[in-house]
Amino acid sequence: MAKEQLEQFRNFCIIAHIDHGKSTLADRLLEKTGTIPERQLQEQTLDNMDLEREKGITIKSHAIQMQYTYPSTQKQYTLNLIDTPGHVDFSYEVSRAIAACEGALLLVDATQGIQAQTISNLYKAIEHDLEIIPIINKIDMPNAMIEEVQDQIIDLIGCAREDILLTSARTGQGVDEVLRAIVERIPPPEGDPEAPLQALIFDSMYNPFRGVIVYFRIFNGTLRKKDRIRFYNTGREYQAEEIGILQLERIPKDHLSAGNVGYVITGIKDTREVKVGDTITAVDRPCDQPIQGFEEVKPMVFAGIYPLDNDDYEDLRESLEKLQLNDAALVFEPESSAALGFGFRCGFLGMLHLEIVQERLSREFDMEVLTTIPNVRYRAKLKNGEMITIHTPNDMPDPVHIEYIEEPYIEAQIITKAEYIGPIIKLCLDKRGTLQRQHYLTPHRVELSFEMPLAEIVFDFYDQLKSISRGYASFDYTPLDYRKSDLVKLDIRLNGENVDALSSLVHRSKAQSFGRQICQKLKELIPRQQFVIAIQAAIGAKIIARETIPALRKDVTAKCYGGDITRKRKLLEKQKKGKKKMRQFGKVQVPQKAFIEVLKIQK
Amino acid sequence: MLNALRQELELTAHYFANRCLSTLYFGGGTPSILSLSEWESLLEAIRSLYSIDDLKECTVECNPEDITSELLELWHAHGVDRISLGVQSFRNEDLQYLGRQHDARQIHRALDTILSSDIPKISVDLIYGIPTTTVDGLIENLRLIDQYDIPHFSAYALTVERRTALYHFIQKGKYPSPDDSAIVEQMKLLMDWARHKGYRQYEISNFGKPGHESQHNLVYWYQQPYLGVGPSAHSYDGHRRRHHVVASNLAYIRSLRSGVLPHRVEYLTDEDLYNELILTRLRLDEGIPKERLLGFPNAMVDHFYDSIEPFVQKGWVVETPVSWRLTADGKPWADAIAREVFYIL
Ligand SMILES: Nc1nc2c(ncn2[C@@H]2O[C@H](COP(=O)(O)OP(=O)(O)OP(=O)(O)O)[C@@H](O)[C@H]2O)c(=O)[nH]1
Ligand SMILES: [Mg+2]
Repeated sequence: MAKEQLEQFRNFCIIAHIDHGKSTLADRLLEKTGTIPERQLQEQTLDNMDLEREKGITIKSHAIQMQYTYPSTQKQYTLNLIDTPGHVDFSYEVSRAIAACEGALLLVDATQGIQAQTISNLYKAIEHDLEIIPIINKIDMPNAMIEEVQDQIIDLIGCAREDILLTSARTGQGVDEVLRAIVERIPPPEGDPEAPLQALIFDSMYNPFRGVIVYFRIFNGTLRKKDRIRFYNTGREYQAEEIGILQLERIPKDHLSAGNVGYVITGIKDTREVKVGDTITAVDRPCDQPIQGFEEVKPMVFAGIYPLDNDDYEDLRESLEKLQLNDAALVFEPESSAALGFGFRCGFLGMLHLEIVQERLSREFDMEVLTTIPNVRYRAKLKNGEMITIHTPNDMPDPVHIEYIEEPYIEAQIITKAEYIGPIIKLCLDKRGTLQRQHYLTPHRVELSFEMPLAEIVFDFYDQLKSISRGYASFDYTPLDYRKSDLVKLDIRLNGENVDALSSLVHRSKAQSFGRQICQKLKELIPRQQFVIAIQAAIGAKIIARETIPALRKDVTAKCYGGDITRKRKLLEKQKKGKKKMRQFGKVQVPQKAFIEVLKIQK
Repeated sequence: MLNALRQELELTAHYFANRCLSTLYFGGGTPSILSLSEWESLLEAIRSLYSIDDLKECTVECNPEDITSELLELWHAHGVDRISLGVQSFRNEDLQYLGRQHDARQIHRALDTILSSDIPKISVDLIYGIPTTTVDGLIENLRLIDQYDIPHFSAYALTVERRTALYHFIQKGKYPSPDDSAIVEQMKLLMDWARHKGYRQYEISNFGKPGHESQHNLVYWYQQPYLGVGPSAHSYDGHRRRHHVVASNLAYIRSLRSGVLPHRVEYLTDEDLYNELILTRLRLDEGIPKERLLGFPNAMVDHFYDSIEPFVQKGWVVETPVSWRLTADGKPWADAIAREVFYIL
């Protein structure tokens, strides 16, 4: 009987390289199964965050349940779908989705073929023993190269040509076959509805009215409304006040059992009590071991985040904790800066991740923040034999005490068309990389592998790579080790005062040009003030770049008559409000924007 | 247009309970739109609705190319006693930079015509800080003002407004943009010159020989009631209500044809009133009167005292027994100071 219950479930995720059409395919699946009424269906319906819609990319994994009748047997199936993001910075979202599924739809864009995240996400799925259904999407496009992409896929996963489905997520062509294949090829979950409860928390979010909402996948047992439950790792106990399944909205249910995906609300307000990756079990009949969680996230980039107004420090902490619930890759700890007061040192998976966190803080929590220049984590061997980790430029010891400094290296995999090999190698050498391997996937496609400093790739490497290859290059990386490096601390001074928030650690060979660029950027962004402002970049006492901002324009003698009075008042009021978004360093006011823009400069 | 103006005049005739005008001002652009006979009927319309027995000043603002002796005669016959002439500069390269229609020759002709007419008062507008004007160019302009013995002038620093042809040319790099240090240098020169010649800088950009201060403009700066008529005109009841008419000529004419004045009303809050007091009075030689300031809620008064102090320290503002005034050093900073002293929730 238990077997029969499980037989009706299919849990799968959609994985692919960025923009290959995952969310659009999800739309078609939701449409064909009638999960979402047509009038509520938009393009990429599951991308429901404003930011996702604006940027046209998926940032969060999104789980949704569908009911599907298999045509030849008329049997009902419950399909739990998780749509995942394709951008490298959100790969942690993919890992967690995979842990909750038995199968994965691996989508490949027919016009682009296999790309770097196709491969890295595929490996993640294979590691978890997921059944892979390869799909070539966008076959409606005139430049689709179906056969060539089939060859690539066969090469990559060793399947038969007939195993590869062909779809157009735009027109809906081939989508019925996808639904049938999900039922036919993905195994139903294993597990025992009668066993002690064992459910994996794969995501969570904060709702101001309901408290923390926890998303889970049940591996064993049955969860009933009002059950007493325990979080395995924290040991805390709660009552399951509301449980249910996830459709476009949450649909409450009385019970959920092994194989299913759902949510639970317990009224938890303290966000620190919930950890993604933890196991939920029942108090009266606990399981004897937790489900294997996820590997720890390893943040790649670190930056300080500070409230615009010092009084908002506690609010910022709360906001970060709430955001962390919904963004398990975000890590943070308190730090302080002479210039900015109290804030947090945060770890991110990449620059897009950083940007998204900053945006979400502003939109979802109304927290305006300043971000310091991001850096990777360095290590320094001191003359006294001690090895220390350098998290922020201000941790950098006085050079006289340092034996040597090490920086993290990664191995980068780049897949590209053969014609772009030259410029790509040049770019990577510029970024202090060394070419390790060059492997022809087909006569026209090459996989290049480099060893490079992490610091060179986290900032804008991907954008540069895309632009020199006209988009025909994709990229993925894995951490290697720490290696010795000639690093210096670059300070920025405004009228002689060091702004620690703008300090950075850079390779000596890049210090001069980076310093010059920061100074120029600041000159553009800091509004003129009542005095001349000198912007300097310095290594120790040595000034390596300088710009000057002349004093404020004295435009008082413009006309000011009847109709102008209101206009002029409003103009000045607006300027004054703009000033509230600035931070003061010594006498100099620096707009919040300046910090963000400085981050965008390539080192 | 004229019909619409007449219609609006009738609709708003109740604005001043006593129907008595003390100043009248025909703003820029009007002279070139109206023909002689239209002027005649406009002036008559005003006279039929208002008493102008106590009229202290009646100004027409116009450009040099608009001036004819017929017009001047007609205006004079209807009580106009002051012309404000948009000279900007006597130098052709400046005029070209500014995109003006007129040239130096037309200015001289206009001035001669006005000075030999029966209209007794005259003022000219000057713009300084034009990239094509050197200090010598400004001195040349001032010398001509002196030579014509013009008792009142307004001098504005060149400001480049967005969405103007000039803005566009500067963005494109076709024209040089104004240079700040030159603007300040010219402003100082101008203030010194004016003082030396016996003008009083009664408002930051207005200079008059004693008795020649513009009565009309003081109304705006003293928060007194005024009524503006015509597209985009602003009016103020002297308390909290301000209204302005739509800017589009077409919408204006259409709406008035059906007897409705297309306008929007704004009610000023305490903060608005406070901010406007700061904005306007700081520009006046007399400064911000303590008596007016103390009438505002405590929070604003406290804010004022806190925020004005650094400027007193700097020597940009002085406190007198009755007011706060800008010093000569503070004048170029009037906007920056006003912004700091503004009260915003
Ligand atoms: N012509 C065509 N366009 C498609 C098809 N599928 C998706 N697209 C388009 O490709 C773009 C990316 O689609 P998404 O569904 O957002 O891609 P995604 O894989 O979810 O992207 P990320 O979540 O950001 O990784 C959108 O402009 C879609 O309209 C298809 O089958 N045919
Ligand atoms: Mg997507």
